[in-house]
Amino acid sequence: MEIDFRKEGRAQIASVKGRIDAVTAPEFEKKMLEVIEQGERTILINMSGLEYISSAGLRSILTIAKKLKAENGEVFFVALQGAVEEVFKISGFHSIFKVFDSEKSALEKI
Amino acid sequence: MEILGEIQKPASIESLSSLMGFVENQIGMMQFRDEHRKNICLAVEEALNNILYHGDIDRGTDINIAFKLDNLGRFLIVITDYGAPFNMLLSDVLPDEMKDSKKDRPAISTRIMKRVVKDIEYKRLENKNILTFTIPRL
Repeated sequence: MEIDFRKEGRAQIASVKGRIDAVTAPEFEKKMLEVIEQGERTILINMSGLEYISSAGLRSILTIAKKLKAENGEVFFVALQGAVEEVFKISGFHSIFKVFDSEKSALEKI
Repeated sequence: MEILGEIQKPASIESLSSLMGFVENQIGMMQFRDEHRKNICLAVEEALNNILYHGDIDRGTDINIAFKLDNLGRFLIVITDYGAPFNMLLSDVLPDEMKDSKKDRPAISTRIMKRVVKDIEYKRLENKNILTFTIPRL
């Protein structure tokens, strides 16, 4: 699992590649929480390169979202693909979080 | 019934990485398209998460995963643990009044597992929880 961070306006964009599973979820969560600790409050997670996510990854996302909410921030999701989108739908995350097709459409609306 | 591969590790969170490494390796050898392999892997990971995080497992016992090929040419993935009776397949269908907070939590894992693999069976036998995924050859 790899995460590339870059700043676009007021949003911190995190592009995630590979897998977020029971083994890599703690690292994903740690890196995202570090970004929040550094003061970022609007986080956009680009999942176009994410091939696999399990409930361990979903738990990390909930932790990140909860932390951001406590700091008056919010997390958004972009470009979910195939199996990852299916897991989001099965788990109801599609209705809990704002999901966009592209970074461009997300940045226009947030 | 032919055993294709088997692993036994202590039933603890620390074993998850090596258990999943074994599972990915075994599934990688199956002649399935990539998406199907990912789904099988996801189902097994969710089952292991359920057992290790939510099952009432006895510390000091093991968890066993066996990949088998049955006489009909189907792949069986059999996960055995020695904890208290725990039928995770019920965790997303039990009415709320029958759930306690601990058993409620695996519902998402179970929902994902059932969506990606259709044929899953739970048995309680000789003080063991036995979960079997049956994967037909495509």
